[in-house]
Amino acid sequence: MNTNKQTNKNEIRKNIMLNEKDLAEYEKMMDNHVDADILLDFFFEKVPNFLQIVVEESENFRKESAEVLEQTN
Amino acid sequence: MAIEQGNNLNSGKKPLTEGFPVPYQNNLKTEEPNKDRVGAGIILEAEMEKRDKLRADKNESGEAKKQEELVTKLLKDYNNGNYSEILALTNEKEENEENEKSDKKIYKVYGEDDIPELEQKEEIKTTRKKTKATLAGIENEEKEGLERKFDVQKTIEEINKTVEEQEKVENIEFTPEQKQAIATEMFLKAKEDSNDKTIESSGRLKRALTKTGEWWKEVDKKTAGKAAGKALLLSGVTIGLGAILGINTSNFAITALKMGGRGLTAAGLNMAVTSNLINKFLPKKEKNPDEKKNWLKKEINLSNVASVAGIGFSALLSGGLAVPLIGVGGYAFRRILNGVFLGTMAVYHHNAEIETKGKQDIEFEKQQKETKLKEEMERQVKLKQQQEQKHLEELKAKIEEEIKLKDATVHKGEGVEHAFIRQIENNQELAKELGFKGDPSDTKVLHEFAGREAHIIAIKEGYADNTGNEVRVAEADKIAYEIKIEDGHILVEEKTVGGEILETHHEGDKFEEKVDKYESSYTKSNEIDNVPEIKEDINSPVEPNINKQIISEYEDTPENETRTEYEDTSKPEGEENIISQESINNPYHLSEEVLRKVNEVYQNNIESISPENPEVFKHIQLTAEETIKQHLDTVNQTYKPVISYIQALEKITDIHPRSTTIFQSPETNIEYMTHVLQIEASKGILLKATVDTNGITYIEKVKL
Repeated sequence: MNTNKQTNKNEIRKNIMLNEKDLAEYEKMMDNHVDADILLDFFFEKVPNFLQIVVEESENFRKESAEVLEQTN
Repeated sequence: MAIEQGNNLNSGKKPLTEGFPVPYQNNLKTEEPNKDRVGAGIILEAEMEKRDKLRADKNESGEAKKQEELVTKLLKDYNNGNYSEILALTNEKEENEENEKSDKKIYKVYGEDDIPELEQKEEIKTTRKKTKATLAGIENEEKEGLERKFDVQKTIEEINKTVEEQEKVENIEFTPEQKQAIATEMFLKAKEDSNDKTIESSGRLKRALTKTGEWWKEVDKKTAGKAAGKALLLSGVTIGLGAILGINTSNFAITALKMGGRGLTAAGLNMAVTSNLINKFLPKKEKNPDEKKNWLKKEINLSNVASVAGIGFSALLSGGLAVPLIGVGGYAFRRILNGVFLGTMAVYHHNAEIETKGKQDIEFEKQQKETKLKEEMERQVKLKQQQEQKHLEELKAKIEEEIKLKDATVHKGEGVEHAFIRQIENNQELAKELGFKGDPSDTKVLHEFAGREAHIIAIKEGYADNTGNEVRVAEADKIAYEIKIEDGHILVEEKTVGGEILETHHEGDKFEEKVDKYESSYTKSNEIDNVPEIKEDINSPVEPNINKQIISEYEDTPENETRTEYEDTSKPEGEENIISQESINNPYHLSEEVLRKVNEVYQNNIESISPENPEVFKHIQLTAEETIKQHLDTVNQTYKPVISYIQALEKITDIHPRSTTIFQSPETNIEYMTHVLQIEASKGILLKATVDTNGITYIEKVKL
């Protein structure tokens, strides 16, 4: 069950790889020091399940941290 | 293959690019173009492409084999210059293809005029090949980098190993807090290193990430002011950790700047990922994209908008694996880690608290018991001390009472005044209350005072009167007459030696006409106002003449009366002489011999002054003070020797008679005579009296 879920997740992540055009656009925004708001709009437009990814990554780090701390006693 | 290392297009003078049979451009521009050769080359290229595709597809069918053979043949013909063979083959093939499929590729047959077009075509092909190769390499590199996994277990092992080694080096055992702090720092460091490698191998993303970092700095300037302070706090953790690990952390500024830099870089990210927003982010039910977007913008502020944007970028670029690229090792993930750390430590603290609490409870109970025991012991000791103190006080009071009773008890040969004198002499407080202002250690003065006061009290309390009546005890050592002062008034309690109060006399009580059964009434034969009781063993040289009465202005002869109700075992009456109480009590502590000589001089002087009537001194009702003031010319000749004797005593010794005060009675002539003789005797002088023919008495000092 988890394996399938993880596979699906990875598939989703693969699909959000920026293409050359998007990457160029992103770099241009960085060069122009755009506001975070604009950047956020960009992500919402380009990244499916954007919020979900943010939360998942934060939780991953949290779990990883806990694992380390629990086993280093 | 030879053709792929060089072809006829460049005459073997120049290497082919990428092993591809591309005509060398310079040759194309300088040599005469060969239309057949160009056309054959194009055909050959097309066939080689077809072959390569079959190779790439790993096609092992007959078609692939046939294509390999064809390319081999075409290359051979091309190298041999048999262009027409190639062209023929192509023309044949084109015809076949046209017949079979109308949409088959038709190769153009170029002429010399088409050379620029051909050159452009070759360049495009070359560029496309190079780009393909480059993109393939980048993709591979990205894939390799982004798929690099952070080895948690390896990190844990390294951390534990470091902790053990450090404990050995320091020769201490780290506390759970210290171990967790070490783990925190090492974990972040490992994470940071891992992500540095990931960034380096992130291919085309590296530049984007670098630019993202620059963008972050700009965001930080606007939003991370508050976070900077927190980052400095965290730097304290690093410094403390450094101290544990022996890392030089003396340069606080550098450490702080390092941490602050990280913190500034990741401040916004931190706020997003560590706040409650995370929980809010977790959608409980699906929202449409627009709803999510609006909701997120509403929930987060400028700084964590940037954070989420940063995370979003990482996720966007790497499919999630590069999320920590920006924040790890910095403030954001440090806070996440701290959150976990604190959670973990909370367990330790909880367990430690339970253990500590248990120990504290035991210790508290132990202390409580000890305290109670100690208090109980102290209470008992105190109680015992109080009891002992009370007992001592009672004993002391009893002893004092017994002493008082003993002092107050009339012994054999004593009257009530003897008991009074003892009490005053042995009780300084009583003496002071009665008016004694001298030095209590001066027994002589105190004794004089006690004697006078005893007599006064005896009169005031009804134990004597001015007619010579006095109360005596019926039996010695049975009754005590204790002086007490209540509310400034003197009273006398008559007690048994056991302390039982029999009767109380107050000031102003009349002399008892009817004495108690333990008392006896005694009346002196002569009416004098002070009749000292006589000590039984005093040998008086004077025989009292109780029957002789002399009537004069100085005399008063009361009616003699003796009434005895009970048996009186005290001093028999009639043995007293005219010496005073002082001679009995010996207040000047004269030796027995001296006292005897004083008495002899005393008696001899009286006999010299009034040989026929020694009792004349008793008949003079004047006090000594009054006697001294008398004029000899006006006094009766009978009393002239006596009066002149008193006056001579004062003149020669300069000792004045005691005056009358509130607290003391005036000194009588007898008292004064005794008083002066004893004082002088204490100085080694005897005062002998002689009377001339005119009846005037003179004093002669004689050394003892």
